Parts: sequence; structure tokens; C-alpha cells
Amino acid sequence: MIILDTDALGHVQKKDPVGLLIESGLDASPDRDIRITAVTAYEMLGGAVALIDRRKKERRDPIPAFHLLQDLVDYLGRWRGRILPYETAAEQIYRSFPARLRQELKDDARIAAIALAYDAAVWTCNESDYAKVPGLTVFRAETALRVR
Amino acid sequence: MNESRTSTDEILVHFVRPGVGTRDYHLSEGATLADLLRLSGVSMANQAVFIDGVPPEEAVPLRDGVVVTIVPQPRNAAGDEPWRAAVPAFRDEAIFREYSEAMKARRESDPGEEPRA
Repeated sequence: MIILDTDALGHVQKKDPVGLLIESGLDASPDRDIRITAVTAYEMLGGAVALIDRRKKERRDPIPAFHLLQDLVDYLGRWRGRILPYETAAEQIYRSFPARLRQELKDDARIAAIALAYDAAVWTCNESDYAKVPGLTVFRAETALRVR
Repeated sequence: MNESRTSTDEILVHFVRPGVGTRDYHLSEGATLADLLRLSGVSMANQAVFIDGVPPEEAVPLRDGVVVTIVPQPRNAAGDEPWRAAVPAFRDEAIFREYSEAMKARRESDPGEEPRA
């Protein structure tokens, strides 16, 4: 099972050059079970809500930010059945991480915990952070190569 | 059907195979995609075919002047793979940048949490 982390998914969503590399790596991967996590959904939607709040506060046009939020909701709908939940097993793994690691990785630590709970590999553009998580399988998303 | 024959009852079809080349075929009016594939000797196995950029029905008659393109099927491709979709709002560089900044600021302001009592 492959989990795309939030940053890797952002590139894929944008279809920028890194995103296209990741997509071609996914095409070539023998592992066809590709997922995202509820943590990524939380981060994406949280970012859109924060954007709306910021524009409202600054008295700027909120409409493009609402459009972005709607696009993200539609996009997440396509992942229905492929969004791994954040549940007790992941929470217990997350709690087992050293406090310093949790503080440093923030929500990425929760993604790592879900990956460990489901025995999944994390595909990320930020492999140096995930590599600090004991026992986690990490792939550099742009190259589709396992780094740990 | 004969690729070298021309008459008013024939249609001209441009057959494009990226990496191989383009070849024009003169087919009888009413000829179908299946006729073209038979004549060209090209198999559709593991290939995707498009007529004027649109996936066709094999039995639909070809029109004069159409461009038929055949390309290798993307490995493991399936229509329901969600990562193939894009987020339209992200095409607007300014709003995408602002969204990325909002996400980053939100992450950085995340205080983490204290262990539960």
C-alpha cells in the first residue's frame, strides 16, 4: 500500500513538473493500492478555510478562496474509499513517538503513524523528515525510489 | 479497400502512431475503425485509440479526413484513479501561492499537543 503525503499530493493535484513525475512513478509502481489519509484531507481543507478567513479579515475578495475550497471537496470525493482514517491504532503509534519527533513533524507524524498502522509506504517529497520515524518505509515521490 | 486507390467513394484517413509515424489510408466510404486496423495490421491490444482525439466505437464508420491516433495504453491505467485528476483552482498561480502560504502558516502555528491527562 502506498500513501501519498500532503505535499506530494499537492504536486499531483497541481500537475506541476514534480506532480507529473510522481504520477509517472505511480503508473510504473507494481503496488496499485494508492491512498491518502484523513490527515491530508484535514490539512488541505484547513488550508482552504484559513485562506478564506485571511481574505475575509483583510477585506479581500473571498470568492476565489471559496472556489478553491469547493474544488478541494470535489477532488477529495474522487478519493472516496481510498482515504485512510486516523483511528485508535494510529493514535497509539503516534503517542509512542518521542515528543520531540511529534513536535517536529507535526501532522506528518500522524501520517507516518497511519502508514505504520496499515503497513504502508509513504511517498513524499520530504523524505528526510519521514526518515526519522522508526520502522517507516519511505519513498522519494519524485523518483519513486525507496530511501528507507 | 486499398490505400493507393482514390475515388469519390473513398475517404482519406490519417493514421498516427507516435514513435512510428503517420500514414494516410484511402478507405471505402462506410469503412470502420475495425477495417482500418485490419488493413494496417495494427492490433488494439494494450493500445488506446482516438478518433480526432476522442475514444471511438469500433463499429462507427470513419469520416473523411479524420485523424486516428493509436498510443500505448498507460501501464495499469484505469479511469477511476483519483490522482489523475487536477484541482482546477490550482491553475491560478496567485491563489495557489496564497493557499500554500495559508497551509504553511497553519502548520507552523500548530502548537502540537500535550500528552493526555
